[in-house]
Amino acid sequence: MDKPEKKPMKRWGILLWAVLHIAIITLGLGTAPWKIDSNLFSVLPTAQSTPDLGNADAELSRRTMGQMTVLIGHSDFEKAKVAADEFHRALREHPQLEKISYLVSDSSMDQARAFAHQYRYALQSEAFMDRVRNGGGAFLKQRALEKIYGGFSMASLENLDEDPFLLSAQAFDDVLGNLSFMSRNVELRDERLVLRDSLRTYVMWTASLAPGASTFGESGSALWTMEQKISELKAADSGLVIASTGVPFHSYESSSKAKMEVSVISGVSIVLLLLLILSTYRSAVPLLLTLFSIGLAIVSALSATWTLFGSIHIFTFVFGTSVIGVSIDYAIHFFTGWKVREERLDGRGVRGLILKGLALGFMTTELSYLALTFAPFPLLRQMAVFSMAGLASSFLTITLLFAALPATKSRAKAELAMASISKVLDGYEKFFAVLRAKKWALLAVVAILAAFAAAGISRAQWGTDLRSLYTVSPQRLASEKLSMELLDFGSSGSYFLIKGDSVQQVLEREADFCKRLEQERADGALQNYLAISRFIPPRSTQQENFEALSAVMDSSTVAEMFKELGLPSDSAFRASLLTGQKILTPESKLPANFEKLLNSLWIGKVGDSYYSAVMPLHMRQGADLSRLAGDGVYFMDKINQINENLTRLSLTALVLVGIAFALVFAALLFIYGFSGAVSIMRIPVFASLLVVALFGFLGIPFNFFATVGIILTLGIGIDYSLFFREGRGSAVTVLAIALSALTTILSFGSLSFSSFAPVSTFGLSVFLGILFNFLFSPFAGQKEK
Amino acid sequence: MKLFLAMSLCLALASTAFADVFASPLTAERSKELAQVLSAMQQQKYLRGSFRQVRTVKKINRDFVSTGSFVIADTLGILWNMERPFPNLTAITRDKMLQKNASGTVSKMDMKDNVVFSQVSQTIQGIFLGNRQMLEERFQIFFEMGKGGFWTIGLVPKEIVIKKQISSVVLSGHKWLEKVTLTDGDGNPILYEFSEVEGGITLTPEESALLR
Repeated sequence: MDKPEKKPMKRWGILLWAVLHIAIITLGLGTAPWKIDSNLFSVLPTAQSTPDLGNADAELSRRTMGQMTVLIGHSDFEKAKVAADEFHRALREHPQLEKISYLVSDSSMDQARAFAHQYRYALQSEAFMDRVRNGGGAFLKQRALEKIYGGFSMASLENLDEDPFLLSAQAFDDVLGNLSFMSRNVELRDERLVLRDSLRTYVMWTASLAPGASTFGESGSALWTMEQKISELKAADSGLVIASTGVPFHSYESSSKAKMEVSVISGVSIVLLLLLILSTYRSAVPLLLTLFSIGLAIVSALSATWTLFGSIHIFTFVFGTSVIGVSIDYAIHFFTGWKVREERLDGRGVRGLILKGLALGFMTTELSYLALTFAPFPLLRQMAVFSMAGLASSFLTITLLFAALPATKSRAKAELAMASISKVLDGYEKFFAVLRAKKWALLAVVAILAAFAAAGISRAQWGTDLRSLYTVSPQRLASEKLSMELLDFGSSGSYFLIKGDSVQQVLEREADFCKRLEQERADGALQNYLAISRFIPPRSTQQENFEALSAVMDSSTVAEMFKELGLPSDSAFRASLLTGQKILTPESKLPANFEKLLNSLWIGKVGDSYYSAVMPLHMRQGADLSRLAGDGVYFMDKINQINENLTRLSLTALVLVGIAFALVFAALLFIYGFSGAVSIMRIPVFASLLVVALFGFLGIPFNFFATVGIILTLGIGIDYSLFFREGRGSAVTVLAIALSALTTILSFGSLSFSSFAPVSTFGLSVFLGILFNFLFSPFAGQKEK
Repeated sequence: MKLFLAMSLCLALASTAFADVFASPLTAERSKELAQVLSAMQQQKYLRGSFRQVRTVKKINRDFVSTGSFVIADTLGILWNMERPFPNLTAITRDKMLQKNASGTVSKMDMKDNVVFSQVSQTIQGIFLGNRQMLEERFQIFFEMGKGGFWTIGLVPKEIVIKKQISSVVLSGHKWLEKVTLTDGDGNPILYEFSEVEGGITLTPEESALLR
């Protein structure tokens, strides 16, 4: 009578499993083409806590992050030039590159001059205008005559009839020529920009990676082509030295390394896990079904991530390899019950035995991940969603699909493992007996462990420093160092964001702020700065300039000047004055060189506000400009701000997980009562404290990524205590716990070998946490009587 | 083709007196003579003399003439002390250009902050100081040795950006550099004539200070 009742339930279970998986995978397929983000910097949280400011900063980063500079050097300039030409030919048509700049355009100077002439009234410096206001027409006339008669003046005299006071030349010299469009070390040679050191002349080539272009190492990508060409050129001439700088090179290197590591770490983990499963169950069925469960969990995790985020970051993949270790736990618990138990239960029977522990473990782990989805850090959210979806898939596969399995025909006795487990359990039992019998022993053990934890925790180095997390390869470091020495841009990494309600308010605020920067410049705190208002002054300034200049160019001054110049008529000048009040805005047509600068400085509208950036250059060592921030002016010290945010984020994530655990504790309280709930919860909590203590003793900074590891430790580690308690410490349960702990330790342990400090720190933190959880799990339950 | 056009333009713009020099590209044989000329130019650490500058603007058919004295200091730079039509002092050094007018007002331009000006300024200094390495790097060189040791050097900038400011230069002299005709990007010539040139001099403290 039982069987006919069970079959429809089995079918419903399989149907539910199938529908849920088909739904999530269909959603994932719908997001094609599947994007993988390999940008190194996009894993970081924004430097700002204000969303709009963070978005403005992100927009600025997006524009500048793709910029790349390659310097091709040789002691013989001609050889450097030939190599640079060849490099340019190989890359100039590449679809993933844009804004390629190599040969100096013959029109750039004409464009700049025409621009200076067109906006000659608007583009006068404040210092010059002060002198105009003080000196009047006499000053204006004298300054023009100095340009005409003075030594080595190359001011163009072609437009004297329209511009007798040579305001165009003044604008060009004071405003346009005085902007650092490029490194101040750059020279022109054979229509190319070159830099020199004592040994070589370097030809400069710059470009930007097109939006959405890959920084992966796949054949044919722009970065791959560049790397190939550089290797080819170096092989052909050993005298060539090629340096490069730009974020894409770092992303390319790290993503290539990450890709390799994902393959190696996943590969090694999987092979070890397979060997472990095969040697324990001595059957291909659990192995194949476990592999199927893992594969499906990964596909589901990918689908969910792509559906919710649109793309997946390469680091999520690396962290996500841990999903293999966690999801395999459920399969192991199932197959240990199915294959090793003497009763030879069918799938449904095994599920009945493990469901409570499995469901509680699943719930606690998912709650930990769920807590992370509230963290204001995209990578953390992505990792949490990836892991949640993967685990949910595994849980459903075990409880709905595998539950339909018939009983196994041949039992795996796992005698050796069972014997070892029994010995270990006996050891634990003896230890417990001592602790139960002698209170002082219990107190001594607790005191020793507490002292160890306290001493280690007191040594822990809290906080996150990005600089210590990213280790650049020696080759990349040398290349960056040489590039920086040659280019000497003078950028310190810190800058200001100017915010306003309108374009003009931003420009006005920026111009006011620049006056303060000028003061700092005079005091030697910085040598120069880049600001959009230096070549696009606020409308009010442009109008004031025009009015002040028109006022001093009275009829007598103009008449005297025209007489001096020997010009018969001032009609062209008068006509040009009528059309001279042209207002320059960020939307005006600018010369190509200035467009590039504008793109790096003018952010435009983000949310309801407008933004621009001001970049201080060549700051004095130790100079602190952060005090200049004020109304609508924000100081951006990205690295330090991100470090602070990551440290704050660690705390937020811990608080969130704390809340999740309070909820779990409440649930356990309901099921096991107070002492039962405490005996379960104390294991992951104490294990986590020991991890912090060990980090302290080992001198490893306990940073954001170690904190994420602790969060997982709390979420995953509690499973062992729950399983132990639910299994009442039976040898089969302990075998399942041992196997699942081993698999998890293997997968996270392998992560700790990663060359990426964030990944290895995370891996080590989870590895130690799981190890302690496993070792302490017998404290959560009692041995089967 | 580009070279031909540049040459044609230079030839058209240069005065007829110097037109021939652009028909005499620098050959290996003449290179030795050029080396001797430049070496002689550089033999004196400091040179002092008088100048007459004539800036012609063809469009309005007008010459702007100025006169004064100059100092050329080989490693330091050039002092250009205009006396007429009004006093004005210009000092060009490796890293700055300084101007002082009759009222004593001083304006300074830092070469490091102005790439274009820095390039033009370095080029001018290279021309007046006879810096062979710089001349070879930045110009196509033409050279003619006339009778009695009179020489003429023609220079056409290689760089387009420089060419927009200086389209060609002709230097001529005998013992010292006597005349320079610099044609600007608009095709207007600036003639510099030097007289009463003397070497073996020392700088006054004021001159030293200006060139530092």
